[in-house]
Amino acid sequence: MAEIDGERRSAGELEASVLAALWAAGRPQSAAQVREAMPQPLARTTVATLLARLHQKGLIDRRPGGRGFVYFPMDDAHGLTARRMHHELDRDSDRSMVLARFVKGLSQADEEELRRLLEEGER
Amino acid sequence: MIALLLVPLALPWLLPPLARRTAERVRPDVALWSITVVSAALAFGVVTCLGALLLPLALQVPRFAVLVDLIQPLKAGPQSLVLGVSALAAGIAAVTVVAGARRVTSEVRRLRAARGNVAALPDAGGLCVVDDPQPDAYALPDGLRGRGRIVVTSGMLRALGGDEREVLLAHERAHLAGRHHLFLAAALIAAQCHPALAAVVHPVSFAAERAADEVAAREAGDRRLTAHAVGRAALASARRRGGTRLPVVIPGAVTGPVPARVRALLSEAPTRRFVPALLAMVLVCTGAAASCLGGAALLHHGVEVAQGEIPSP
Repeated sequence: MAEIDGERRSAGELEASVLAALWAAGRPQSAAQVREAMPQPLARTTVATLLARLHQKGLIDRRPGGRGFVYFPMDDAHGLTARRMHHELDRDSDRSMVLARFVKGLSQADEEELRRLLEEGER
Repeated sequence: MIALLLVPLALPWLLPPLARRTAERVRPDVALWSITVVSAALAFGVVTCLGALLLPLALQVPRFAVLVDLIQPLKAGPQSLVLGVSALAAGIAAVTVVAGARRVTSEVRRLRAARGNVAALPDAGGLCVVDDPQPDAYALPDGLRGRGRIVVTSGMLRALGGDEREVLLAHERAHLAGRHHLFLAAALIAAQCHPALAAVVHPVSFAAERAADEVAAREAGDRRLTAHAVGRAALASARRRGGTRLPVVIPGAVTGPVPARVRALLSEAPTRRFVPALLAMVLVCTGAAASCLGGAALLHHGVEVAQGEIPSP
């Protein structure tokens, strides 16, 4: 449980964060841009190491651009996994209960209540 | 005797409102444990009592009666009533077993399919990203172990800011580390044993989400940020899904689980480990166990009388 109560984050978690940031960006990013997009402060060398490791694992690709490389996530065969995922998970009317999904569906009342709560939080 | 064996079949109806109150008021990890354990225990009681109720009917069959050396018919009350209840129990047990087996196999098949889907994808620190504009994220458990994978769509990652993405990842990691899928599976199996326990699956699932939210909030060190991540992810998924809104499951209920989670995150961290509803759940459980044991003891006595080991009263 070192990752949860300790300050130190495991290398795996940081890799996941970098990968998430690259996907969220939606277009190729330089190492400096990735570093900026990361919510946690990281050394430049750390970001370079993380990117190299993701590249080695085949999760991201890179091409020359600007000064040095730009990185982008590798997508699988044209969303094949996504289509299969929808097919499998949403086939039946009763969705899987054991898969803990981040958010389940919202009713109209839920949506209005959520917007109200989030707006209140802003103030 | 029959009456004592029927009590554990009726008691689960008391659980859903108590479970809901517990899930709303007590620390989520305590709620998750207590509701799941009580639900599983009541399910066990239901199955035991159904099994015991089958006995009088089974012992009417001469072959079984000989097997347990009955020298006279088992007397457990008015004959027609006992046999009627027994036959009813047999019917319920048969339907339950068939329906339960189907539900569990469909769940296992779906989990296996979900795992097969991303098995070929590489992962970084347990994270698998699926290129899909529809925002979605879930924790894919790996058997009994706390490891597993987090599957997130690119649509979900794009809907969130950097800090919020970290909250999402921490939330899913908490599900895996806490082995929440085992709680959900236990609740689901219990739900197959009694219709009232089916209504307890939602409080268990809510407690699991709340527990993961609290871990994520602790890691982020910011409850408001966590609330916003949950709320924005939910709104983003709803927007994408467009027309196919889920129906409101409970008529008259104002809002579902997501606003309740956001509301809980916007208020202070829950610290209560105990509420009266929790005590009531334990009492229901004890009552079921006591009447189950009492009924079984009386039934055993009846069988011994029928075996001629004890003189009939």
